Amino acid sequence: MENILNYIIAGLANGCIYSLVAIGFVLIYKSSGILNFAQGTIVILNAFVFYSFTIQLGIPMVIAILLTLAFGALLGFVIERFILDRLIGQPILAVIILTLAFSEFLKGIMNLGWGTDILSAPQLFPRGNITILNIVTLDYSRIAFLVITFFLIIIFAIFYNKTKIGLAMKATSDDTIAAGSVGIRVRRVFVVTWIISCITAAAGGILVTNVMGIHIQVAEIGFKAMAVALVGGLQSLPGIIIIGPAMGIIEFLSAAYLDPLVDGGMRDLVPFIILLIVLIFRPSGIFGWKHIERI
Amino acid sequence: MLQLVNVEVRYHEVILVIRGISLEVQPGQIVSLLGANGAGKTTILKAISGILHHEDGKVSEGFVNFQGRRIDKLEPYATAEAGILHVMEGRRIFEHLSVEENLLTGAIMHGNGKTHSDLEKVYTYFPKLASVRKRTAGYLSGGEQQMVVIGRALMGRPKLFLLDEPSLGIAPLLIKEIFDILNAINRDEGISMLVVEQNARIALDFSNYGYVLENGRIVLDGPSDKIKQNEDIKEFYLGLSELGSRRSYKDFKHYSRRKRWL
Repeated sequence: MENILNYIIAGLANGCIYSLVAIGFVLIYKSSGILNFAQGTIVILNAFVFYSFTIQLGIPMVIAILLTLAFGALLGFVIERFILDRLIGQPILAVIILTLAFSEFLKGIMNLGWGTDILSAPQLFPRGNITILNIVTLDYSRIAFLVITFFLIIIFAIFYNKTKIGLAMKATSDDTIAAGSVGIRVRRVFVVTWIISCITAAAGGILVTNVMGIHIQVAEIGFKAMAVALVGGLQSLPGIIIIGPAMGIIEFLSAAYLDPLVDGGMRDLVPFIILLIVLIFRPSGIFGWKHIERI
Repeated sequence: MLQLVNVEVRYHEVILVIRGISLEVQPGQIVSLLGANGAGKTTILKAISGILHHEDGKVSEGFVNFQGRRIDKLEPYATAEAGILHVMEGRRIFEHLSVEENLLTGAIMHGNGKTHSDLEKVYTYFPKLASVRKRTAGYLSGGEQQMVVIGRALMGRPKLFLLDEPSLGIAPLLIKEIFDILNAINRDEGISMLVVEQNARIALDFSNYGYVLENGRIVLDGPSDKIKQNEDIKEFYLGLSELGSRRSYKDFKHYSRRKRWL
């Protein structure tokens, strides 16, 4: 019994990070129709940058976090302004393939710059754990994950639903041309979208490498996030916030109870099996947009 | 206020859709643009608002002037900021937003200042929208969606409305209501309008001045009352014979239906 609860909590914490990364993913898809295959790579790139700031340059933790988020923002700006901007008017598939190429390019850069070993991330949270009622044992970093992602998602939800930029983003994702015709600067919205998306990637990178270590394979989180986004429904932010933690829990439970039966690996497999099943029965995802059809 | 001088529009650099058109909208005036399918009416509106740029089209000859400033190179958001609001064909509402959010998008380009009073103004012109303000816009009826789109444009404090087929796919009763409201907006707010319509009767009743477009050329223009009296317009656009009665197309000799203007 204790075990199940522990797995659930751990999965929940990990799943929150999937949600965080998937938000960036979905924002870009919503506003411009681009599936950003580089999302996972951007996550790990930010983690490497964070590593350099803290371990290699010795910048204090809080400042390094802020600098990394700023680096994420800058990266988003550069990608949109100097790479994607040139592809306006080209088929969307060309842009999607470009993100894939860009992802490989970044991986090359990271191999050159930081090597291929697993680096250990700077200690963000104090080690140790607390035990609640002798049932659940929580270590501090998991608690921090939950709290931080929760707050980030709240901040994001307020930004998206209550501000003018958020409204402009929603309008643009509904109908780009109509948005332009009412005076919304659509290209600026795209830039903001990429910046936010890369900032969430940076936050996800800093958090996730804290338990997984810094290594290029962490980029796989991009595919997990993609699975979360597809299961939740590519247009649905609430869907992603719900599905992310659910996916994390399922992942940890399958690692705990299915791995012994099949010699491991279920942890990486089960999310995609779920994705497959959901896509067969609900191609637009569990919370995805049903196309509004008036009769 | 708005002038098009010898405007020529091409798509993909080669397809010539508009061949040298000149037209003008005076402040406070309602101007209608008539013509059959494919005559180029919508393209003219897109050339003015800049939406043409999104469709790989451009003004290849001539120019568009708005209040003394050349605007044919501007992006849609820039013409909107200049005061030209394009109400596109087919009611391009933001389906997944509520009615009120739809209206608020029209005010994004302005500061926070008068958004609230603008919203109230839209609700006085369209009382129907006030009662459905929280509803998802995609589920409204066609007429209500048209009201949302016009209201959204009104939120942008326009000087000139470009209206593309406001009557398309809307119940006749609502068409009358919408045009009455547009008339009131023109009268009270002093907003000029350039309206494209297939329904010539509505358009000519609504406007002060009209242009008739065929194959990308203007073939006739004049005050709306005068155009209504034109024999050819009566026959080909309004479906009336000399006697003013309805006439069956059965009685036409098919070759006389084609009118050569020039």
